[in-house]
Amino acid sequence: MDWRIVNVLLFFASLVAYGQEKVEREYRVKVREVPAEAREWLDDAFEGHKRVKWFMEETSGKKSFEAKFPWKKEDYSVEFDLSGKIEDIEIQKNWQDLSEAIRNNLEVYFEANYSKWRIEKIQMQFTGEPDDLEDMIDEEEQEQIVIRFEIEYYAEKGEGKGLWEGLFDKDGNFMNKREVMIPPVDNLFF
Amino acid sequence: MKKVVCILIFILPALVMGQGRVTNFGLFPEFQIGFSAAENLKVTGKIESQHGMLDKTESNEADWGYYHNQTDFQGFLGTSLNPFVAITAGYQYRVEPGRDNSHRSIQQVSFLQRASQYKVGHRVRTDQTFAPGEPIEYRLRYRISFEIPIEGQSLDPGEFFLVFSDEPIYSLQSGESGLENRLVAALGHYSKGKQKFQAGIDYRTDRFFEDDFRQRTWFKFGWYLSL
Repeated sequence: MDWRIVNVLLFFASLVAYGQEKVEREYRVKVREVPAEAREWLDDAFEGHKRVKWFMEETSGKKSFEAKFPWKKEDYSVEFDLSGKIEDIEIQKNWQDLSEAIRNNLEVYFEANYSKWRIEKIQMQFTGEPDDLEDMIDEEEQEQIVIRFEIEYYAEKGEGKGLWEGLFDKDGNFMNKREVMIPPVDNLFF
Repeated sequence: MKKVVCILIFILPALVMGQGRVTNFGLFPEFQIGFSAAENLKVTGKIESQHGMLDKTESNEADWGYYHNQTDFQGFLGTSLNPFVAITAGYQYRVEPGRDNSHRSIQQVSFLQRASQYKVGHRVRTDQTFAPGEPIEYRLRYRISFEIPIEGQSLDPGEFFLVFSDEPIYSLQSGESGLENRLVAALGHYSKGKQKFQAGIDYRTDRFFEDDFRQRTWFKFGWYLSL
């Protein structure tokens, strides 16, 4: 067998398969691509903020702008629609950051539904009107604000083991969940 | 990004070819396909092929010319203990011009760690190589790999990423031990349909304590498909 043929075939097979499209992604965008309304809202609410990274997020056909930055020693993520209107604010939290009452409610849910569980990531989510969200940030008022927790966790129950993203209300009561699929990583193991 | 590609393709091999006692350079295409055969049973097939283009021993002129070095056909059966840990057993058939074809049994445990902006893969592997007329060669290997998205904070379809890995390999054959190291730096693309493409440099060094210290540099490009 002429092994050069194998080489050439493998190379061109790669090129042919490469030409396919993507569906869901998050990627960096330049600040000038972001609507002025979004930039102005961010400047007003987070006065003096620094190191903002802007992303375009495409999920199931829906597009939005997302600003990620550190604020008061926490990681913030602020999402805007394409017109620049704010949609929500998410803050990364640790288990210890949650109040005892919320932790208790979460523990009750996990203990009742799983034999083993481990929290991977917690995001506190705030939704509301732009003015109310701005007041929440600069005046710490939480009227008219809906608070939820988005929690990614690994859990086992019987034979089933999986990674989940659960949505919990402001008190830590379960609302719904979806399974988290880890993208293929075979290239790291074979 | 163009700078990264230039470094990977041109500068790194040029640097490594200027040193050492025995040097090889060539192309290293690979294709991998993985799919679930049953609940929690994963099948992975892989073909990888090395095609040399340059041989150089110290004090001799570089010998440019194409040759087929070896081609491996591999099959694996694996099961996941949880979303992050898998155990796998495999078999490899190697075609190697000028030598008898060989068989290899493979066992591995893999661990996935997820950091906020990158993934870390740990692979612990043992293998045993059986070739006619030769004693069995036993190897113990550990590979650590980093997959770092370039365009966002997580790797999503349609985005590019970088992969860096290192793998020290200890071998034992007829009471004689050996050491090899494999360093990989590559640029990848994660495409729709659970496909990844990677191209980069695979830099291998061995015979560290012998007179003929060897370094082999491969331009490695691969297509990794999960069904």
